[in-house]
Parts: sequence; C-alpha cells; structure tokens
Amino acid sequence: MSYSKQYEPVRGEPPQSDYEIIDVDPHFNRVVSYFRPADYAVWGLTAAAFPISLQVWERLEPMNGSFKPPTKIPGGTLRAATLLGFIGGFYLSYVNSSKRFLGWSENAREVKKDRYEIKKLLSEEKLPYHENESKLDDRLKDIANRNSQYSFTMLSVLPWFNFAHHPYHGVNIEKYYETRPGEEEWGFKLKPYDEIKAKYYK
Amino acid sequence: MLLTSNLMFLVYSTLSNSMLMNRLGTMTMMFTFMTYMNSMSMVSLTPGMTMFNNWFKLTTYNLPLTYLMFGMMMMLLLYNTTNVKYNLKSNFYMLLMMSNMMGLMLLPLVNDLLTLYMMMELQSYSLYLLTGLHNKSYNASRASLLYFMMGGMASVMILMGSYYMYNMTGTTNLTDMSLLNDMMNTNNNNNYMNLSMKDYFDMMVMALLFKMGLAPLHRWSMSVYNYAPTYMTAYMSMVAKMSMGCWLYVNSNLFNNYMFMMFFYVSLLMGSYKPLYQMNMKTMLAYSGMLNFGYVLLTMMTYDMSFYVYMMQYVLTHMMLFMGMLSASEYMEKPMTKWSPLLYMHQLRLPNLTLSFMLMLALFSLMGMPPLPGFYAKLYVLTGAMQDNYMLETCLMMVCSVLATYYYSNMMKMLMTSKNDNKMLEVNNINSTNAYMLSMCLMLLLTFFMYLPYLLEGLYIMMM
Repeated sequence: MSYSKQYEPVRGEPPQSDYEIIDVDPHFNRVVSYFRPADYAVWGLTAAAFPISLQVWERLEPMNGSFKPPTKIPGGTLRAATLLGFIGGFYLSYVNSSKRFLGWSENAREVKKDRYEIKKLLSEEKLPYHENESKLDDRLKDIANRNSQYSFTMLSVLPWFNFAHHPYHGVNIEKYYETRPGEEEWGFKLKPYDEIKAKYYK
Repeated sequence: MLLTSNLMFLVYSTLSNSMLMNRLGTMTMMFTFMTYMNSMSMVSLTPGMTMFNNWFKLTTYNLPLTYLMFGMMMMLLLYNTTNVKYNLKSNFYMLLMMSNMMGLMLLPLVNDLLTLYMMMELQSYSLYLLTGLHNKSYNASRASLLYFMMGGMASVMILMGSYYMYNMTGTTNLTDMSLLNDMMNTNNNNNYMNLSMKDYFDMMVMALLFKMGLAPLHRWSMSVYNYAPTYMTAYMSMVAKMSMGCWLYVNSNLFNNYMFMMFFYVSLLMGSYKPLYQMNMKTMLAYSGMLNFGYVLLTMMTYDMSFYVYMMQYVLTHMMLFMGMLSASEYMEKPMTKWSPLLYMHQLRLPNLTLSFMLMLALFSLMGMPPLPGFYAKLYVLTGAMQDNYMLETCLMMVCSVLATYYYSNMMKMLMTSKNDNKMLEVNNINSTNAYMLSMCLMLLLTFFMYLPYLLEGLYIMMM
C-alpha cells in the first residue's frame, strides 16, 4: 500500500534537546557505526566487570557465610556473567549513541559526520535515508517507524531496534543544503532534494 | 536487557547453584537500573513521548515510580544473595523476578487497554509463581492458588471493562480516549446516552483496586500476604500495588473519583480497625499496607505530587520493617515455620537492641512522628487534600492514623522488652550484607528531612 500526497502521515515534534538533533529514529547500522571509542571502552569494561564483580563479591561475602574462606566460582557461571556483560555493554553503548542522535548529549563529532554522509549521498543523487532500498511498502515503513522511534529508552527492559529504511527522521533536509564553516573543503555539489525524490518516487 | 537476561537465565538457572544465580541476577538488575537511568533525559521527557506504536507513553509522571521500584527491588534481591539461617533458595527465583520486573516497569507506562491487560498478566503470573515457589510449604501453595484465582477474577473484570470501553469509543488507545473525553465534556448536547466515558472506566478501576487488595475487596490479599514466605510477602505486598497505583495516578483524569472515594473510606476504616484484634505481625503489616494505600488513593483524587513523596516514604519504611523482620529471624530459636520464622507479635522480644530500635523507628515513621518521613508524607497529603477542599477525608485520615497508632505502639511495646543477649549475639549474627542494607535504610530514614527539599524541588520542576 502506498501513500498519496493527501495521506502522508503526520509526526509530532521531536522532544526538546540541548544539542542539535541528527536523527530521531536512526537505522541500527547507523547507530552502531557512530559509536565513539569511549563507547567501545564502556562495552569492553562492562563485559569484564560482570565476572570480576562476581569474584569480588565472593571475596567480600563468601557464599558459605561471613568469615568463611571464599569458594571457587565455576567457569560456566563466569562465562555466563561475561556473556551478560557483553550484551549489557552493547546496550549501554547503543543507548549512549542513540542519545547523541537525539541531541540529548554532546554530539559535535556526530553532527559533522552526519552532515558529511548526508551531503555526500545528496551529491550522488541518492536518497539520504536509503528509503528506496527497503522492500517495505509505505504503510509498513510508517509502522516500522512508529514501533522503533525512541525505543532505545526502554532498551533496559526490552530490546527493539530500527532495521527499516524509512523516511521519518524528524529533521528538515533543507539544513543539509546550507554550508557551515569548514564544510567548503568537502567540495560536494548537492542536487536539489525535489529532483532526487522525483527520481525515486514515480 | 531484562528480556535478554531472562532468556539467558532460562538456560543457566538449571546449570548453576542458586546463590550464584541470585548474585548474577542482582548484578544484572543493578546494571539494568544504571542503563535505564542513563537512557532518560528529564529535559526531553517534558511533555513526554509515546513508544512502540502508541502502546506506551513515557512522561515525567510515570518515570519517578519506575526508579523507585527498581531501587526497592534491588534491596530485596540482596537479601537472597547471602547465607541466612532459614535459607530459602531456588534456582528459578531470579528468572521469575526478571519477568515480574518487566511487567512492573512497563505497567505504569501503559497507554492502551490491550497492553494494560498484557502487562498486568505479565506481572501477575510471575507473582503467582513466585508466591508458590517454595511449594513444600502448604501455606505458600495455598497462597499461590488463592492469588491465582482472585487475580483471575480481576483480570476477567479488566477484560470486560476493556470490551465496554471499545464498544463505546471504538478505540483501545488511552490518548484517543482522553481526547474523546474532553470533547464529550465540553459539548453537553452530544452526551452519548447520558453516560460519560468515565463511567465505563469504573469497572476497570474496581478490578485494579481489587488486584491492589484494597478494602472492601481485600480479604483474599490479607490471606495471601499472610501465607506466603516472609521475604516474598515483603516483595509482593509492595510492588503490585505500586505499579498499578502509578498507572491509576498517571491516568486519573480518565476516571471518576467515586470509585476511589469508596475504596478510600473503607480501606481507611478497615486498615485502622481490623489489626487492633490481631496478634499476627504479617497480617498487621498487610492491613497497615492497605491503610497506607488508602492514603495514596486520596492523592490520586487530588492529583497531587504528594503521591510521590508518600510512595517514597512508604517504600523506605516498608523495606526497613521487612528487612528488620527478616534479620530478626536469625534469632528465632523456635521458629513458627522455616518459611516465616517470625510471625507473631510476642516473638518481637529480640536479643539485639539495635535491631529493635530500628524496627521502632520504622514504626514511628508509620505513625507519622516528626522528623521521620512518615510525618512529612502525611503532611503533604493532608495539605494537598485540604487545598482541594476534601475536608471530611482529611478528618477521617487523621482519626484513622490515630487509631492505627494504637496497634503500631502495641508492636513497639513488645519491642521495648528486648534486651541485649550477648550469648545469642555471638552464635547468630545478622550477616554483613543485611546489616549494611539495614544501616543504609536507617540513614535514609533519619536524614529524610534533610534531602526532602531537594526531592520536592526536583518533583516540582518535573511536574511543571
């Protein structure tokens, strides 16, 4: 089912934020590719912290009771703890990265990276959010967006990511047609957005 | 994270020993709490947003209580990570706790009648199972079955209510319903069959108050809390009420006040009068919980932010009382049962003066003695109610809390006969984790009046 111009879905304003909004519902791959080295460090540290804390806990409060010698923790449990930490660390990094997309935390580096990527796509006459690559029809794209938008806030309860290339990203494409200081040297020649859109939406 | 770890625990619970599983689970919960706090931004949550296709809404109104539930849960989980005298350990405890936590976290955020039912069942089913986890205990199995039957009744009522709501409005979404409600209220000519939408919610509100175990539909909950093992009572007598209460509070613009009013009056009278004839500590505390949630109903009617202050103080006091009771079990030479070693009031003659002092402080807080949290919370509830001209309710609340003081002081009278028994203290001691948690609770309780202004300031900014 495809939407005609009269039935284009309406979206609410994105939540207020301290920094510039990049994308309100970024694709999973995009969130992961925007991880900072600090996020990888958090991921690694969390994976290590789980089994280590289990060991430390046993030292501080042995399972057999206070003031008894600590028992050895079985390898299987330690491996399970590491796996939990690995998954948890990924979630934590994913949340941090998503917050930068919404401008909830400092995101100067990401804004620059995003502007470079989108400008490049626009100069190559490609749609900035790859909507054309998705096999979903308009209605399913709409639903996919409604399902995954802001779902990272509940990542600590249930994991839900955006795997759909949909056009609802809460930013005005016009902002990529401005040239900010330091962007001249990229040397992109952008095609008008309407022309690019007309090429894909027939 | 909770869902993922729940799936992992499904596999690992069968492989490892229970205490290790409990520790790993507690760590996971702590980490989940950290991630949860990290993923929120207070500035951006005003006015709030909907998630998962409008099924849930996240606002500054429901957020504080989810934090509170996490915090409380963590304290109770820590009790099961240590070696105690009457050891009740099960491999499946964490597994059920995690599924319960998922329901608890999501229930206050619910924005659709279908998800309301689903989340309600997610948290109820895991609670039924948690209650019957120690099925060697005849009483625990009995409690579990009773809980299941009564919970099922309430669920049927919720479904029935949802059917009527859908029949009338053509939607299950609460945002749509509140819009419709506003429209109907402003345009009186268009009043459908002279019934407003709020009237259709009555059935659902009643079912929820039934599940919360408030009077006059409270008899089952008193038995369930009494029969379940003590550490389970500590947990389930609090969380189910909290999450449902939060949902009711957040959506209280949709409901009539009459239903709350009825439950308020009866809960207050029952909660202050019935325990006067009780010798059983757990029953008394169950009634006391009902009384306190009666007060909370008043904040739902006035839609006042004293709701959060009351919840905070009640969680703190409840934790302290139950942690104190569980720690006191270490000294029980002749336990009533191994599942609930301390059950009757006469057992409160403890060989540890510090512990009995702490229990006394918690009881003082429940009475509402300044400068303990109970006093401030009651003060805010009362001023909020008086501002909205709920005069009779305010008076009743005063009378009932005076009545309740009688049975709290009855417990205190027993505690006052405690004497330090060095011989006993050398043999059985509260282990360091529990001692540390108790002392932390005590510090929070005693310094509540110091950090209260900051809490209020934060709440005020959030609610603006």
